[in-house]
Amino acid sequence: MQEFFQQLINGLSYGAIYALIAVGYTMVYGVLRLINFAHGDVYMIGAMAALYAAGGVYGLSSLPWSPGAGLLLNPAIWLGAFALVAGLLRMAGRPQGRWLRSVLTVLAVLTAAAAASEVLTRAVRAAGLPSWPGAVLVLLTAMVNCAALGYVIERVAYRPLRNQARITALITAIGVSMFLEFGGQAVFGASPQAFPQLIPGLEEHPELCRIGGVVIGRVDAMIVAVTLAMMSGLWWIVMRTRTGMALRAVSFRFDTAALMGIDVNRIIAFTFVLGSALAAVAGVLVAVRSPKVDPLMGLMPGIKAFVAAVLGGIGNVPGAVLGGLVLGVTEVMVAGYFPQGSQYRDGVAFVILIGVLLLKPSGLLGQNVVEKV
Amino acid sequence: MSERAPLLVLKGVSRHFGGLVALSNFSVALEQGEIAGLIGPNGAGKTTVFNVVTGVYAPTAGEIHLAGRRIDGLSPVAVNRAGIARTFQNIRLFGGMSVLDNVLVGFNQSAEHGLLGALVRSPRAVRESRMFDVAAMDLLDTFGLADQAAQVARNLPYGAQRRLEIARALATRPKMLLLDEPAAGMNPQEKAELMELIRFVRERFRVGVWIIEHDMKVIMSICQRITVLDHGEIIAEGTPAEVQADPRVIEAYLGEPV
Amino acid sequence: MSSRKSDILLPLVAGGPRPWVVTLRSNILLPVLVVLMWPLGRLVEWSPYVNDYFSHVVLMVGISVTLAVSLQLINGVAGQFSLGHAGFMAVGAYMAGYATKTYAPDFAAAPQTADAAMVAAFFLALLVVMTTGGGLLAVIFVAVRRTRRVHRALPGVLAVVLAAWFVHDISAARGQAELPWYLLWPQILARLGDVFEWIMGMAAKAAPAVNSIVPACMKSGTTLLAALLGGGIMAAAAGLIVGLPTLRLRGDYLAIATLGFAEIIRVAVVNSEALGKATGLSVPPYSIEPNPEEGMAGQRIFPWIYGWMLITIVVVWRLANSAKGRALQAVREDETAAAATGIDATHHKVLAFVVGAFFAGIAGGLYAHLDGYLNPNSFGIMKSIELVVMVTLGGLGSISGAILAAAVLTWLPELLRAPADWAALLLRPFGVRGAEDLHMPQWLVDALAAVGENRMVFYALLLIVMMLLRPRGLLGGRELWPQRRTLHARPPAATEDMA
Repeated sequence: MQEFFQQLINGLSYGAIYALIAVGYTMVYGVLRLINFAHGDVYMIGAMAALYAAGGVYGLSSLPWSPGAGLLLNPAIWLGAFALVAGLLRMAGRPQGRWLRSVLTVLAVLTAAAAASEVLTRAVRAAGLPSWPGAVLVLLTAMVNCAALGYVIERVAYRPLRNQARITALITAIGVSMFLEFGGQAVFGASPQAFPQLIPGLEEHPELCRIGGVVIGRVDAMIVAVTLAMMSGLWWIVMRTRTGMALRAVSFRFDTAALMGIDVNRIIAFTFVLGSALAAVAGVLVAVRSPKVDPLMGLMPGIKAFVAAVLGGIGNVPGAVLGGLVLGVTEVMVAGYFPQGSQYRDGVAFVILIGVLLLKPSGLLGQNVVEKV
Repeated sequence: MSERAPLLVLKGVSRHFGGLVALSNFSVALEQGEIAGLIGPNGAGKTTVFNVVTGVYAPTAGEIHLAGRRIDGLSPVAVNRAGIARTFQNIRLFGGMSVLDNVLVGFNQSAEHGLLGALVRSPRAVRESRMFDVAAMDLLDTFGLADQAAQVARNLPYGAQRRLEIARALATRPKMLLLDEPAAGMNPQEKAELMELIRFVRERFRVGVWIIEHDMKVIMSICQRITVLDHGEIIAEGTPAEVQADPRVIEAYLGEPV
Repeated sequence: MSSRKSDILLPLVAGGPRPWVVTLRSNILLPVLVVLMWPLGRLVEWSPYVNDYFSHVVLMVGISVTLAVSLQLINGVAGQFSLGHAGFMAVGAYMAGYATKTYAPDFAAAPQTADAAMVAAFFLALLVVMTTGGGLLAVIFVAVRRTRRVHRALPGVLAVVLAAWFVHDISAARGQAELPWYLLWPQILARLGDVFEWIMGMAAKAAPAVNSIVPACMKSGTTLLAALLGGGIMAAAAGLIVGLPTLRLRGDYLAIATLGFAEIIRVAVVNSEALGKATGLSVPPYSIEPNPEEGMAGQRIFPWIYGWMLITIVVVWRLANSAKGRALQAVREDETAAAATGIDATHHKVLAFVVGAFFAGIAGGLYAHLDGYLNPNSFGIMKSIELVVMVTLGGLGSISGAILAAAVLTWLPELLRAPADWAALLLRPFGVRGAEDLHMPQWLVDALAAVGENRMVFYALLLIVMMLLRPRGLLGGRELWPQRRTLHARPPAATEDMA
């Protein structure tokens, strides 16, 4: 019995991570009916951004795209490009065309994100690690970067294809995912890297408390607590703000929402930003728990989080959370109780997937939409 | 028209959706070669009748017989094979396929050659495909669509699309044709042509026709018998003249006896 | 299959060639072309331009085209969103590879050891066992589903009980008596295993006689053929197993389900001792000539790969343009309307899956015997995605598009890997022997090396750009060659009956 609760606690911790990523999948599917294959890789970028911000790579003081670093993705270059393009357009007349506006907006966002990252990483240096303020700043850095990334991906790769067949956007999503993975391998190096300690005192006192023989680790407790906080924030945004209401309207019926005067483009961008920020949180939490990060770390969790979203009913946010938790707990239970369980751990997600699709395709909390003949 | 046994018989057919009663105790008998009408206010359950007859839903209670054979509970494909073809309220063509292909699809169930024959182009496959080509063009000709045969179906004007849907239904060689609001969205000229077409189809292809319509002129002029539905129940039945004079019908449509 | 421009129809032509003439004419070209692949293979081998690396790329292109065209049938023509094609390929590869490895391990190098009969018997035994096992499961499944009305379920339940009793009796007779009821399942599996052994035993006795009928020069060929066909049929069976339950799912859900099944197949392989687990399975490669000095490694399997590629193209093309193909398109366009027109969506979707899976299995078998080594990771999600990308990039529904895209996308990473070598190949007629002869400036060499190392990044970028620029595919959903339909009229006397 004690072991059961132990496994349950572990499972909840894993499940919380899946829930954070799954929410991003489900929100994007809700508004766009698109499975954002690149979402798992955004989670990876979050971990990577945190890695750099925490100074874990060759002692670099900032992110590869920050002014302090000497790499190609330097925001000075972004700023320069921005200035150049804007200057050229000034000479030729006002900025014309949506495409040009998109390019400028993307450049502006990237510049802003790079500048913010630089400021934040300086603050992290000032706060020192491991420390609570430092950890929060690292988390913020990751969130800012992923939010910007999510925005850019949507703007560049998905928005132009909104009126095309869904499979087109799907293929593009795959392309983006591949780009992030292989690009990540090129920029960050293919081998796993160690993640520095963020939370003070984690190694010395790994346990939070013991209840009747069941150990609740500090890491697990922190993961669950942060996830809860994030979910509450999300709930508040979606349920209590006007933007959130607009988001729900767009999820429900795209065309009508547009007719009601909702700026659909902004809402969709907002959705991506929100989902990506949550994925970043997941990335940082995972990096704290198992301090090894590599460019392909987003592959399996991405797929599993997607399964979690489907399990809960894709398009349904509470469903994604529920699905994530169920998947996490089931995985840990299978690994714990079956003799060869750890080998089959990855297979659990797929078995659940097939089960859901065969028995209740709309998911645990989803609704069956019957086609009217 | 014919003194033989009725072609399509519905006995006490009901259909419930959870607590909602869409049809209740619906009974009707349609003769061979008859043009019958089904009318009623919006939401009365007319399309549900068609859906139950064609197997989209199974009846919650009651029986349906076609030419003496029970067809309730069969799948839509089986119902079509048994001899009932239909068109849809919102036109459901195979939009990306050509006009000719839309009709050719209807002949598939008459084909005797199988996969292997198609792959090696057996003599039987070749012969059948030629037969179907000719029959399909003939059908298109009847409906005035022959010169659009190569056109992609979704590019056709609305009236032509409706005619194509009927042509496709006829390609399945039905005994009974169910038309769901065939005149919707047509101007008076087109409606007149449609009525002529329906009469012609009945004569030439010897099918019974059952029409759901809202346009009273169309219904009253071509139907020999009309069933009136309201809230899932039959409130009147008879010839056009009888139905027009029935006070219950007037109340259902206008709200109050005039 | 174009979704924008339809066929160009010629008016009704009176008469036309007699049906059997058409049949004859239609079926001459393919065998001739397939046979021509053998001398073509020799030609490729003798060409001074080509070395092992290039020939390998050419062979991979052939396999990719086969895979892409078979997937086009499922995704493009039938409109089913299958994201698990690599799973079918894996089934074909592992089945064919295991069969040759176990029953004819030296068949390529030493033809006298070729054992086509045993390979064929292996698959036959597998099929028998699967049908019996599957039949048993189906009976139980149907019985359970019918339990809404108990009296209808009784025959099924009775059959199961009888079978269980029978099996228990046999076990008891063999001295394994008093088994608890829930241990019957291992017994049933063991009985099925016995059936399998028995068939293989009979085959072992008959095999030498059967093999002696085959002329010596064709021995290894028939073994390969038996293995390929077996792999293809197993893959087709997998297509059936995957297709049936997933029929009701539409769009994204179907994609996910097929993805899941492909992963399950891969996980099953990784956990299977007989199939090499994660380290991989080595298979007798068909590529090595009996005398390796006499030519390149790849050319021997060249005619097989390209022959099957041609067969796949022709079969899929004919299917797509036949009445069945129209039915598939109808199901793709609107299932409800198709049902109302007498087209059974179930039947046709499963048909598409089965035929597509068959050819994927063939391609898998060829792949297995090309390199002689199978790694389960090459059949993962990435492979399925690569295939879907090929099909979509070529334009959904366009067979020529799939061929083009498959060729380009297979070749592109190789081009990016060593652009200088390919350029040198192009310039071979002008006396250039290798990349060194090009005398490129150092910065260019460095730049190309950087591209080569990061080629997948460029591949991904190219993919994104291509989808943004040509969302409907390279050919826009149309075919490369113009399609014309000739309508032949029959003599008037016969037409009035159809109306």
